[in-house]
Amino acid sequence: MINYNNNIIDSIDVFDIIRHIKDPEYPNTLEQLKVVNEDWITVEDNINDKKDCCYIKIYFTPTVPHCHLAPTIALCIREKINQYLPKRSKIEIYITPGSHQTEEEINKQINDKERIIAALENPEIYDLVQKCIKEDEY
Amino acid sequence: MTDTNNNSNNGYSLKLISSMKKEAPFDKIWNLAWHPSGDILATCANDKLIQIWTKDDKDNWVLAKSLEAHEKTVRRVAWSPCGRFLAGASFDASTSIWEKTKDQLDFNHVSSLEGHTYEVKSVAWDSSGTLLATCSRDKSIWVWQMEEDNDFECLSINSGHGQDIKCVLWHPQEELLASSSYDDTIKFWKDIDGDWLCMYTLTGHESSIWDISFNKDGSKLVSCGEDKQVFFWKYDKENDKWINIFKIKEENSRPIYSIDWSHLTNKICSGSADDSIVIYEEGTGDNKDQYKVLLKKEGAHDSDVNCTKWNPKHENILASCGDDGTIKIWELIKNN
Repeated sequence: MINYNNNIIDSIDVFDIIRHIKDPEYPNTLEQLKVVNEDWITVEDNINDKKDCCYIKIYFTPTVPHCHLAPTIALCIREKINQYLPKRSKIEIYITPGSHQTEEEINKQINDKERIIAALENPEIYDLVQKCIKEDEY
Repeated sequence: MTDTNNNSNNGYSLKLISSMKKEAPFDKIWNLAWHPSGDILATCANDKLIQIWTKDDKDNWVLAKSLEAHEKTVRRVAWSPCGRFLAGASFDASTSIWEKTKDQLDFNHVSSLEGHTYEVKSVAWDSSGTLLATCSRDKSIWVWQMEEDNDFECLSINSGHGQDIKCVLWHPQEELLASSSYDDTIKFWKDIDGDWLCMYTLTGHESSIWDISFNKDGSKLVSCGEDKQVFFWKYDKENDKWINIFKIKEENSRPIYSIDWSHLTNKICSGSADDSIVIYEEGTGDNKDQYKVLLKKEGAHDSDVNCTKWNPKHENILASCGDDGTIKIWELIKNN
Protein backbone atom coordinates (compact mmCIF):
# COMPACT_ATOMS: atom_id res chain seq x y z
CA MET A 1 0.00 0.00 0.00
CA ILE A 2 1.06 3.52 -0.60
CA ASN A 3 2.11 5.53 2.36
CA TYR A 4 0.93 9.10 2.03
CA ASN A 5 3.16 11.17 4.24
CA ASN A 6 1.21 14.01 5.79
CA ASN A 7 -1.35 13.50 3.08
CA ILE A 8 0.85 15.30 0.59
CA ILE A 9 0.82 13.63 -2.78
CA ASP A 10 4.01 13.51 -4.82
CA SER A 11 5.07 12.05 -8.17
CA ILE A 12 6.13 8.76 -6.54
CA ASP A 13 2.61 8.24 -5.19
CA VAL A 14 1.13 8.90 -8.60
CA PHE A 15 3.66 6.67 -10.33
CA ASP A 16 2.91 3.85 -7.91
CA ILE A 17 -0.73 4.07 -8.94
CA ILE A 18 -0.18 4.04 -12.70
CA ARG A 19 2.93 1.85 -13.14
CA HIS A 20 0.98 -1.44 -13.03
CA ILE A 21 -1.68 -0.42 -15.55
CA LYS A 22 -1.72 -3.06 -18.27
CA ASP A 23 -1.23 -2.00 -21.84
CA PRO A 24 -4.52 -2.42 -23.78
CA GLU A 25 -2.67 -4.47 -26.43
CA TYR A 26 0.29 -6.20 -24.84
CA PRO A 27 0.50 -8.44 -21.77
CA ASN A 28 2.91 -5.97 -20.15
CA THR A 29 2.47 -3.05 -17.81
CA LEU A 30 2.97 0.57 -18.82
CA GLU A 31 6.12 0.65 -16.72
CA GLN A 32 7.56 -2.41 -18.43
CA LEU A 33 6.86 -0.93 -21.84
CA LYS A 34 8.42 2.40 -20.73
CA VAL A 35 5.18 4.21 -21.52
CA VAL A 36 5.20 5.91 -18.12
CA ASN A 37 8.07 7.07 -15.95
CA GLU A 38 8.24 8.73 -12.57
CA ASP A 39 10.32 11.56 -14.01
CA TRP A 40 7.54 12.52 -16.41
CA ILE A 41 5.07 13.21 -13.61
CA THR A 42 4.77 16.51 -11.80
CA VAL A 43 2.50 17.06 -8.84
CA GLU A 44 1.61 20.27 -7.09
CA ASP A 45 -0.06 19.65 -3.79
CA ASN A 46 -0.87 21.80 -0.81
CA ILE A 47 -0.43 25.01 -2.78
CA ASN A 48 -2.21 28.26 -1.95
CA ASP A 49 -3.76 26.65 1.10
CA LYS A 50 -5.79 24.38 -1.17
CA LYS A 51 -5.36 21.22 0.87
CA ASP A 52 -8.14 19.20 -0.67
CA CYS A 53 -6.98 19.06 -4.26
CA CYS A 54 -3.74 18.33 -6.07
CA TYR A 55 -2.66 19.17 -9.59
CA ILE A 56 -1.07 16.40 -11.61
CA LYS A 57 0.64 16.64 -14.98
CA ILE A 58 1.69 13.46 -16.73
CA TYR A 59 3.59 12.85 -19.96
CA PHE A 60 3.45 9.37 -21.49
CA THR A 61 5.23 7.79 -24.44
CA PRO A 62 3.18 5.52 -26.72
CA THR A 63 5.03 2.35 -27.72
CA VAL A 64 4.95 3.31 -31.41
CA PRO A 65 4.48 6.75 -33.05
CA HIS A 66 1.25 5.62 -34.73
CA CYS A 67 -0.23 3.86 -31.67
CA HIS A 68 -4.00 4.03 -32.13
CA LEU A 69 -4.63 3.16 -28.49
CA ALA A 70 -2.87 6.24 -27.09
CA PRO A 71 -6.23 7.83 -26.11
CA THR A 72 -7.23 4.62 -24.29
CA ILE A 73 -3.95 4.59 -22.37
CA ALA A 74 -4.61 8.20 -21.30
CA LEU A 75 -8.11 7.22 -20.15
CA CYS A 76 -6.66 4.34 -18.11
CA ILE A 77 -4.15 6.66 -16.42
CA ARG A 78 -6.83 9.23 -15.61
CA GLU A 79 -9.40 6.72 -14.40
CA LYS A 80 -6.95 4.83 -12.23
CA ILE A 81 -5.77 7.98 -10.49
CA ASN A 82 -9.40 9.04 -9.95
CA GLN A 83 -10.18 5.66 -8.41
CA TYR A 84 -7.06 5.13 -6.31
CA LEU A 85 -5.74 8.51 -5.24
CA PRO A 86 -7.27 9.31 -1.84
CA LYS A 87 -7.58 12.96 -2.76
CA ARG A 88 -9.32 15.02 -5.38
CA SER A 89 -7.11 15.89 -8.31
CA LYS A 90 -7.01 17.84 -11.53
CA ILE A 91 -5.12 15.88 -14.11
CA GLU A 92 -3.50 16.95 -17.36
CA ILE A 93 -2.14 14.21 -19.59
CA TYR A 94 0.05 14.77 -22.62
CA ILE A 95 2.04 12.72 -25.09
CA THR A 96 5.81 13.10 -24.66
CA PRO A 97 6.73 15.65 -27.34
CA GLY A 98 7.85 13.96 -30.56
CA SER A 99 6.58 10.49 -29.68
CA HIS A 100 3.42 10.36 -31.76
CA GLN A 101 2.45 11.30 -35.30
CA THR A 102 -0.77 13.06 -34.27
CA GLU A 103 0.44 14.38 -30.94
CA GLU A 104 -1.51 17.66 -30.90
CA GLU A 105 -4.75 16.01 -31.96
CA ILE A 106 -4.47 13.39 -29.24
CA ASN A 107 -3.46 15.88 -26.55
CA LYS A 108 -6.61 17.88 -27.29
CA GLN A 109 -8.82 14.80 -27.25
CA ILE A 110 -7.49 13.24 -24.03
CA ASN A 111 -7.93 16.46 -22.05
CA ASP A 112 -11.41 17.32 -23.35
CA LYS A 113 -13.80 16.87 -20.47
CA GLU A 114 -16.80 15.91 -22.60
CA ARG A 115 -14.84 13.40 -24.65
CA ILE A 116 -13.48 11.76 -21.48
CA ILE A 117 -16.93 11.30 -19.94
CA ALA A 118 -18.48 10.18 -23.21
CA ALA A 119 -15.73 7.62 -23.80
CA LEU A 120 -16.25 6.12 -20.35
CA GLU A 121 -20.01 5.89 -21.01
CA ASN A 122 -19.23 3.61 -23.95
CA PRO A 123 -19.51 0.07 -22.48
CA GLU A 124 -16.70 -1.44 -24.58
CA ILE A 125 -14.24 1.31 -23.73
CA TYR A 126 -15.29 1.26 -20.09
CA ASP A 127 -14.76 -2.51 -19.83
CA LEU A 128 -11.37 -2.27 -21.52
CA VAL A 129 -10.27 0.52 -19.17
CA GLN A 130 -11.43 -1.37 -16.09
CA LYS A 131 -9.62 -4.48 -17.28
CA CYS A 132 -6.37 -2.55 -17.79
CA ILE A 133 -6.44 -0.75 -14.45
CA LYS A 134 -7.49 -3.71 -12.31
CA GLU A 135 -4.88 -4.43 -9.63
CA ASP A 136 -3.64 -8.00 -9.69
CA GLU A 137 -4.00 -9.86 -6.46
CA TYR A 138 -0.71 -11.15 -5.20
CA MET B 1 -6.51 41.99 -7.27
CA THR B 2 -8.21 39.10 -5.56
CA ASP B 3 -9.01 39.50 -1.94
CA THR B 4 -10.01 36.12 -0.64
CA ASN B 5 -10.71 37.29 2.88
CA ASN B 6 -13.87 39.18 2.20
CA ASN B 7 -14.16 38.32 -1.48
CA SER B 8 -14.44 41.98 -2.24
CA ASN B 9 -13.30 43.25 -5.61
CA ASN B 10 -13.79 46.73 -7.04
CA GLY B 11 -16.27 47.31 -4.24
CA TYR B 12 -18.29 44.27 -5.25
CA SER B 13 -18.77 40.95 -3.55
CA LEU B 14 -20.50 37.71 -4.38
CA LYS B 15 -22.73 36.58 -1.56
CA LEU B 16 -23.83 32.96 -1.32
CA ILE B 17 -27.58 32.83 -0.90
CA SER B 18 -28.26 29.15 -1.20
CA SER B 19 -26.46 25.89 -1.80
CA MET B 20 -28.03 22.62 -2.87
CA LYS B 21 -26.20 19.34 -3.05
CA LYS B 22 -27.12 16.32 -5.08
CA GLU B 23 -27.51 13.13 -3.10
CA ALA B 24 -24.66 11.30 -4.77
CA PRO B 25 -21.54 13.24 -3.90
CA PHE B 26 -19.34 14.50 -6.69
CA ASP B 27 -21.83 13.85 -9.43
CA LYS B 28 -20.91 16.23 -12.17
CA ILE B 29 -23.66 18.78 -12.71
CA TRP B 30 -23.06 19.95 -16.24
CA ASN B 31 -25.57 22.66 -16.87
CA LEU B 32 -28.46 24.64 -15.46
CA ALA B 33 -31.22 26.81 -16.86
CA TRP B 34 -33.46 29.36 -15.17
CA HIS B 35 -37.14 29.16 -16.00
CA PRO B 36 -38.24 32.48 -17.60
CA SER B 37 -40.12 33.25 -14.37
CA GLY B 38 -36.79 33.25 -12.51
CA ASP B 39 -38.21 31.03 -9.77
CA ILE B 40 -37.41 27.54 -11.04
CA LEU B 41 -34.09 25.95 -11.98
CA ALA B 42 -33.48 22.95 -14.20
CA THR B 43 -30.17 21.09 -13.92
CA CYS B 44 -28.66 18.09 -15.66
CA ALA B 45 -25.86 15.76 -14.68
CA ASN B 46 -23.89 12.62 -15.35
CA ASP B 47 -26.44 10.62 -13.33
CA LYS B 48 -28.62 10.84 -16.49
CA LEU B 49 -31.25 12.93 -14.71
CA ILE B 50 -32.78 16.30 -15.38
CA GLN B 51 -33.78 17.82 -12.06
CA ILE B 52 -36.10 20.67 -11.16
CA TRP B 53 -35.41 22.88 -8.17
CA THR B 54 -37.61 25.50 -6.59
CA LYS B 55 -38.27 27.35 -3.35
CA ASP B 56 -40.39 25.80 -0.62
CA ASP B 57 -42.77 27.72 1.71
CA LYS B 58 -39.84 28.69 3.89
CA ASP B 59 -37.95 30.17 0.95
CA ASN B 60 -35.41 27.35 0.87
CA TRP B 61 -34.35 25.96 -2.48
CA VAL B 62 -35.27 22.29 -2.70
CA LEU B 63 -35.38 19.48 -5.23
CA ALA B 64 -38.89 19.30 -6.69
CA LYS B 65 -38.67 16.74 -9.49
CA SER B 66 -36.32 14.29 -11.16
CA LEU B 67 -36.99 13.63 -14.82
CA GLU B 68 -35.77 10.33 -16.20
CA ALA B 69 -35.55 9.68 -19.92
CA HIS B 70 -31.92 9.32 -20.85
CA GLU B 71 -29.46 6.45 -20.87
CA LYS B 72 -26.35 8.59 -20.56
CA THR B 73 -25.14 11.95 -19.25
CA VAL B 74 -27.49 14.88 -19.88
CA ARG B 75 -25.23 17.67 -21.07
CA ARG B 76 -27.48 20.71 -21.42
CA VAL B 77 -31.00 21.86 -20.62
CA ALA B 78 -33.01 24.73 -22.11
CA TRP B 79 -36.45 26.22 -21.38
CA SER B 80 -38.60 27.50 -24.21
CA PRO B 81 -39.10 31.29 -24.02
CA CYS B 82 -42.69 30.83 -22.78
CA GLY B 83 -41.49 28.45 -20.07
CA ARG B 84 -43.88 25.68 -21.07
CA PHE B 85 -41.28 23.34 -22.55
CA LEU B 86 -37.96 22.05 -21.34
CA ALA B 87 -35.40 20.36 -23.59
CA GLY B 88 -32.52 18.13 -22.48
CA ALA B 89 -29.57 17.20 -24.71
CA SER B 90 -27.92 13.90 -23.88
CA PHE B 91 -24.82 11.89 -24.64
CA ASP B 92 -27.23 9.05 -25.56
CA ALA B 93 -27.64 10.91 -28.90
CA SER B 94 -31.22 12.01 -28.18
CA THR B 95 -32.89 15.21 -27.03
CA SER B 96 -35.89 14.93 -24.71
CA ILE B 97 -38.74 17.43 -24.71
CA TRP B 98 -40.84 17.93 -21.59
CA GLU B 99 -44.05 19.86 -21.17
CA LYS B 100 -44.70 21.53 -17.86
CA THR B 101 -48.25 21.46 -16.55
CA LYS B 102 -49.78 24.89 -16.29
CA ASP B 103 -49.87 25.65 -12.61
CA GLN B 104 -47.84 22.85 -11.11
CA LEU B 105 -44.37 21.49 -11.33
CA ASP B 106 -45.34 18.35 -13.18
CA PHE B 107 -43.72 17.37 -16.42
CA ASN B 108 -44.79 15.14 -19.28
CA HIS B 109 -42.21 13.64 -21.58
CA VAL B 110 -43.81 14.68 -24.88
CA SER B 111 -41.12 13.97 -27.43
CA SER B 112 -37.69 12.54 -28.05
CA LEU B 113 -35.65 13.95 -30.92
CA GLU B 114 -33.56 11.25 -32.55
CA GLY B 115 -31.18 11.53 -35.46
CA HIS B 116 -27.76 12.51 -34.25
CA THR B 117 -25.16 9.76 -34.54
CA TYR B 118 -23.21 10.59 -31.39
CA GLU B 119 -23.56 12.63 -28.18
CA VAL B 120 -25.85 15.66 -28.34
CA LYS B 121 -23.99 18.45 -26.60
CA SER B 122 -26.27 21.43 -26.72
CA VAL B 123 -29.86 22.45 -27.37
CA ALA B 124 -31.40 25.90 -27.80
CA TRP B 125 -34.83 27.44 -28.52
CA ASP B 126 -35.16 30.46 -30.75
CA SER B 127 -36.82 33.65 -29.47
CA SER B 128 -40.20 32.69 -30.97
CA GLY B 129 -40.14 29.29 -29.27
CA THR B 130 -40.94 27.42 -32.49
CA LEU B 131 -37.45 26.49 -33.65
CA LEU B 132 -35.04 24.28 -31.78
CA ALA B 133 -31.38 23.65 -32.62
CA THR B 134 -29.30 20.68 -31.46
CA CYS B 135 -25.63 19.91 -32.07
CA SER B 136 -23.43 16.89 -31.62
CA ARG B 137 -20.05 15.22 -31.78
CA ASP B 138 -21.21 14.06 -35.22
CA LYS B 139 -20.27 17.60 -36.39
CA SER B 140 -23.81 18.47 -37.45
CA ILE B 141 -26.41 20.98 -36.32
CA TRP B 142 -30.06 20.03 -36.68
CA VAL B 143 -32.77 22.67 -36.82
CA TRP B 144 -36.17 21.41 -35.72
CA GLN B 145 -39.57 23.05 -36.04
CA MET B 146 -42.19 22.51 -33.43
CA GLU B 147 -45.52 21.58 -34.99
CA GLU B 148 -48.92 21.07 -33.46
CA ASP B 149 -49.32 18.13 -31.08
CA ASN B 150 -45.73 18.58 -29.90
CA ASP B 151 -44.36 17.04 -33.06
CA PHE B 152 -40.94 18.11 -34.22
CA GLU B 153 -39.92 18.21 -37.85
CA CYS B 154 -36.29 18.41 -38.83
CA LEU B 155 -35.97 21.39 -41.18
CA SER B 156 -32.29 21.17 -41.88
CA ILE B 157 -29.06 19.37 -41.09
CA ASN B 158 -26.12 21.72 -41.23
CA SER B 159 -22.56 20.62 -41.57
CA GLY B 160 -19.62 22.95 -41.81
CA HIS B 161 -17.75 22.55 -38.57
CA GLY B 162 -14.75 20.23 -38.82
CA GLN B 163 -15.18 18.75 -35.34
CA ASP B 164 -17.59 18.30 -32.40
CA ILE B 165 -19.97 21.18 -31.87
CA LYS B 166 -19.99 22.23 -28.25
CA CYS B 167 -22.71 24.84 -28.16
CA VAL B 168 -25.61 26.26 -30.18
CA LEU B 169 -27.41 29.48 -29.35
CA TRP B 170 -30.02 31.60 -31.13
CA HIS B 171 -29.76 35.33 -31.57
CA PRO B 172 -32.08 37.00 -29.01
CA GLN B 173 -34.18 38.68 -31.70
CA GLU B 174 -33.41 37.36 -35.16
CA GLU B 175 -33.64 33.92 -36.73
CA LEU B 176 -29.87 33.65 -36.64
CA LEU B 177 -28.10 30.71 -35.06
CA ALA B 178 -24.59 30.71 -33.59
CA SER B 179 -22.51 27.60 -32.92
CA SER B 180 -19.13 27.02 -31.29
CA SER B 181 -16.88 24.05 -31.82
CA TYR B 182 -13.94 21.84 -30.95
CA ASP B 183 -12.55 23.12 -34.28
CA ASP B 184 -11.81 26.44 -32.48
CA THR B 185 -14.34 28.47 -34.52
CA ILE B 186 -17.73 30.07 -34.08
CA LYS B 187 -20.16 29.97 -37.02
CA PHE B 188 -23.42 31.78 -37.73
CA TRP B 189 -26.25 30.14 -39.66
CA LYS B 190 -29.26 31.62 -41.38
CA ASP B 191 -32.20 30.35 -43.40
CA ILE B 192 -31.78 31.67 -46.94
CA ASP B 193 -34.70 30.54 -49.11
CA GLY B 194 -35.07 27.29 -47.23
CA ASP B 195 -31.37 26.43 -46.91
CA TRP B 196 -29.51 27.08 -43.70
CA LEU B 197 -26.24 28.63 -44.80
CA CYS B 198 -23.11 29.46 -42.86
CA MET B 199 -22.95 33.26 -42.91
CA TYR B 200 -19.88 34.02 -40.85
CA THR B 201 -16.96 32.09 -39.35
CA LEU B 202 -15.16 33.64 -36.39
CA THR B 203 -11.58 32.61 -35.71
CA GLY B 204 -9.26 33.63 -32.90
CA HIS B 205 -9.68 31.10 -30.11
CA GLU B 206 -6.76 28.71 -29.78
CA SER B 207 -8.75 25.66 -28.70
CA SER B 208 -12.30 24.33 -28.25
CA ILE B 209 -14.94 26.96 -27.57
CA TRP B 210 -17.12 25.72 -24.74
CA ASP B 211 -19.78 28.39 -24.48
CA ILE B 212 -21.17 31.54 -26.09
CA SER B 213 -23.67 34.21 -25.07
CA PHE B 214 -25.31 37.21 -26.76
CA ASN B 215 -25.87 40.58 -25.15
CA LYS B 216 -29.46 41.79 -24.89
CA ASP B 217 -29.91 43.25 -28.38
CA GLY B 218 -27.69 40.65 -30.03
CA SER B 219 -25.17 43.16 -31.34
CA LYS B 220 -22.39 41.51 -29.35
CA LEU B 221 -21.34 37.98 -28.51
CA VAL B 222 -18.98 36.66 -25.85
CA SER B 223 -17.19 33.30 -26.03
CA CYS B 224 -14.93 31.25 -23.76
CA GLY B 225 -12.94 28.09 -24.11
CA GLU B 226 -10.34 25.50 -23.41
CA ASP B 227 -7.67 28.15 -24.19
CA LYS B 228 -8.62 29.94 -20.91
CA GLN B 229 -9.59 33.03 -22.89
CA VAL B 230 -12.71 35.17 -23.18
CA PHE B 231 -13.37 36.83 -26.55
CA PHE B 232 -15.80 39.67 -27.15
CA TRP B 233 -17.26 40.02 -30.66
CA LYS B 234 -19.35 42.73 -32.25
CA TYR B 235 -21.45 42.83 -35.39
CA ASP B 236 -20.01 45.35 -37.84
CA LYS B 237 -23.12 46.37 -39.78
CA GLU B 238 -21.31 48.38 -42.41
CA ASN B 239 -19.10 45.50 -43.51
CA ASP B 240 -21.59 42.78 -42.59
CA LYS B 241 -19.21 40.80 -40.43
CA TRP B 242 -18.48 39.91 -36.81
CA ILE B 243 -15.24 41.29 -35.46
CA ASN B 244 -13.24 40.58 -32.33
CA ILE B 245 -13.24 43.74 -30.22
CA PHE B 246 -11.69 42.57 -26.97
CA LYS B 247 -10.06 39.59 -25.35
CA ILE B 248 -9.24 38.62 -21.79
CA LYS B 249 -6.55 36.09 -21.08
CA GLU B 250 -4.65 35.01 -18.01
CA GLU B 251 -7.56 35.60 -15.66
CA ASN B 252 -8.24 31.87 -15.34
CA SER B 253 -5.58 29.19 -14.88
CA ARG B 254 -7.74 26.43 -16.39
CA PRO B 255 -10.35 26.09 -19.15
CA ILE B 256 -13.45 28.29 -18.99
CA TYR B 257 -16.59 26.21 -19.42
CA SER B 258 -19.38 28.76 -19.27
CA ILE B 259 -20.20 32.34 -20.00
CA ASP B 260 -23.47 34.27 -19.67
CA TRP B 261 -24.32 37.85 -20.57
CA SER B 262 -27.02 39.35 -18.36
CA HIS B 263 -29.86 40.94 -20.30
CA LEU B 264 -30.87 42.84 -17.15
CA THR B 265 -27.59 44.40 -16.00
CA ASN B 266 -25.26 43.87 -19.02
CA LYS B 267 -22.73 42.16 -16.75
CA ILE B 268 -21.08 38.90 -17.76
CA CYS B 269 -20.35 35.88 -15.56
CA SER B 270 -18.08 32.92 -16.28
CA GLY B 271 -17.25 29.60 -14.64
CA SER B 272 -13.94 27.80 -14.92
CA ALA B 273 -12.13 24.54 -14.23
CA ASP B 274 -10.00 26.54 -11.79
CA ASP B 275 -13.09 26.47 -9.51
CA SER B 276 -13.71 30.22 -9.81
CA ILE B 277 -16.52 32.46 -10.97
CA VAL B 278 -15.50 35.71 -12.69
CA ILE B 279 -17.77 38.70 -13.30
CA TYR B 280 -16.97 41.11 -16.14
CA GLU B 281 -18.22 44.60 -16.78
CA GLU B 282 -18.52 46.60 -19.99
CA GLY B 283 -16.83 49.98 -20.22
CA THR B 284 -18.80 53.20 -20.57
CA GLY B 285 -18.66 56.17 -22.96
CA ASP B 286 -15.79 55.77 -25.40
CA ASN B 287 -14.82 52.46 -23.81
CA LYS B 288 -17.97 50.57 -24.65
CA ASP B 289 -15.96 47.93 -26.47
CA GLN B 290 -13.71 47.31 -23.50
CA TYR B 291 -14.27 44.95 -20.65
CA LYS B 292 -12.78 44.50 -17.24
CA VAL B 293 -12.88 41.99 -14.46
CA LEU B 294 -15.22 43.26 -11.79
CA LEU B 295 -14.77 40.39 -9.41
CA LYS B 296 -13.17 37.00 -9.17
CA LYS B 297 -14.59 34.52 -6.68
CA GLU B 298 -11.92 31.90 -6.07
CA GLY B 299 -13.09 28.54 -4.77
CA ALA B 300 -16.70 29.22 -5.74
CA HIS B 301 -17.10 25.44 -5.95
CA ASP B 302 -14.96 22.59 -4.60
CA SER B 303 -14.26 21.53 -8.17
CA ASP B 304 -14.72 22.64 -11.79
CA VAL B 305 -17.47 25.21 -12.28
CA ASN B 306 -19.38 23.92 -15.31
CA CYS B 307 -22.12 26.50 -15.64
CA THR B 308 -22.99 30.02 -14.52
CA LYS B 309 -26.29 31.70 -15.41
CA TRP B 310 -27.85 35.04 -14.52
CA ASN B 311 -31.40 34.99 -13.27
CA PRO B 312 -33.64 36.36 -16.08
CA LYS B 313 -36.00 38.23 -13.73
CA HIS B 314 -34.08 39.23 -10.61
CA GLU B 315 -31.10 41.53 -11.12
CA ASN B 316 -27.66 40.44 -9.94
CA ILE B 317 -28.76 36.95 -8.94
CA LEU B 318 -26.88 34.10 -10.55
CA ALA B 319 -26.74 30.33 -10.25
CA SER B 320 -23.75 28.05 -10.71
CA CYS B 321 -23.11 24.32 -10.70
CA GLY B 322 -20.09 22.08 -10.92
CA ASP B 323 -18.28 18.80 -10.57
CA ASP B 324 -18.76 18.96 -6.79
CA GLY B 325 -22.42 18.03 -7.31
CA THR B 326 -23.51 21.37 -5.91
CA ILE B 327 -25.80 24.09 -7.20
CA LYS B 328 -25.24 27.53 -5.72
CA ILE B 329 -27.23 30.72 -5.91
CA TRP B 330 -25.33 33.97 -5.52
CA GLU B 331 -26.07 37.65 -5.30
CA LEU B 332 -23.68 40.23 -6.70
CA ILE B 333 -23.59 43.03 -4.17
CA LYS B 334 -22.14 46.50 -4.41
CA ASN B 335 -20.58 47.31 -1.07
CA ASN B 336 -21.00 50.69 0.52
